[in-house]
Amino acid sequence: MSGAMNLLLLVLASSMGLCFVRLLRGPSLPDRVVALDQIGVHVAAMAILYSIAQGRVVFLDAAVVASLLSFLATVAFARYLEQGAEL
Amino acid sequence: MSAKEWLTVIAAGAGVFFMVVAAVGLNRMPDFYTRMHGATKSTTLGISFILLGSALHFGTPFAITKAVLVVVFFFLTAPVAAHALARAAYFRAVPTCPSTALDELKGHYRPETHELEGEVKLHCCAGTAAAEVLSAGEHNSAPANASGETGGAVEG
Repeated sequence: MSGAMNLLLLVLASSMGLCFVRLLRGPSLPDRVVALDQIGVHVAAMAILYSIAQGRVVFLDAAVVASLLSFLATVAFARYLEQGAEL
Repeated sequence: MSAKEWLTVIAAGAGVFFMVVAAVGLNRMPDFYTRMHGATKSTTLGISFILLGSALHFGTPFAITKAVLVVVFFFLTAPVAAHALARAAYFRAVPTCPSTALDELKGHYRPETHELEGEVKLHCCAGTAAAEVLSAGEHNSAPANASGETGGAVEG
């Protein structure tokens, strides 16, 4: 079980690397924000896989927090991109 | 490995597969809007499968409740975040790819207030049942919208 989860974690890490490529390349600022959002979701998924590999339920809380932070960051960035610094 | 463990690995593997599809789509799609379209949806599906795997693995009511909670959270927030970002990108005039045939929102947004004006005609599904439903809804809501917009203009 733990070996299979470690393999899946490795695949997920390389997928996160692909998202990072878009974060570096992205021609426009919204492209980079989407890549950042995807990286946040990948972090949440990695926390869940790690909790399965270790057999501990507590790491699911880390996934909840990571997804919440990623959502808030995306919405804040979108608002900034649409309206500028004034809120 | 028991059958339950196999099911866990299969569910988590399917979830990781969809996450990889999202990352590949993020790199291969031609413009911003298609990139976001590909990334957001498949990520939601991927994380749902991974959480299904965790719920199968732990099996306790606590873990299952938490998994269902996170899935519901993702299904609520991912479309909201994607919509907000796409709207921001549209106002910043992020270019679409050269093969884009039609922009149905073109000229319908007021640049200063970011509000819709006029009737947006949908060309994509003309002649289908969906188009009839959409046009019926527009006719029902059009007078209320029009009066509201003119009232706002007079006040401004």
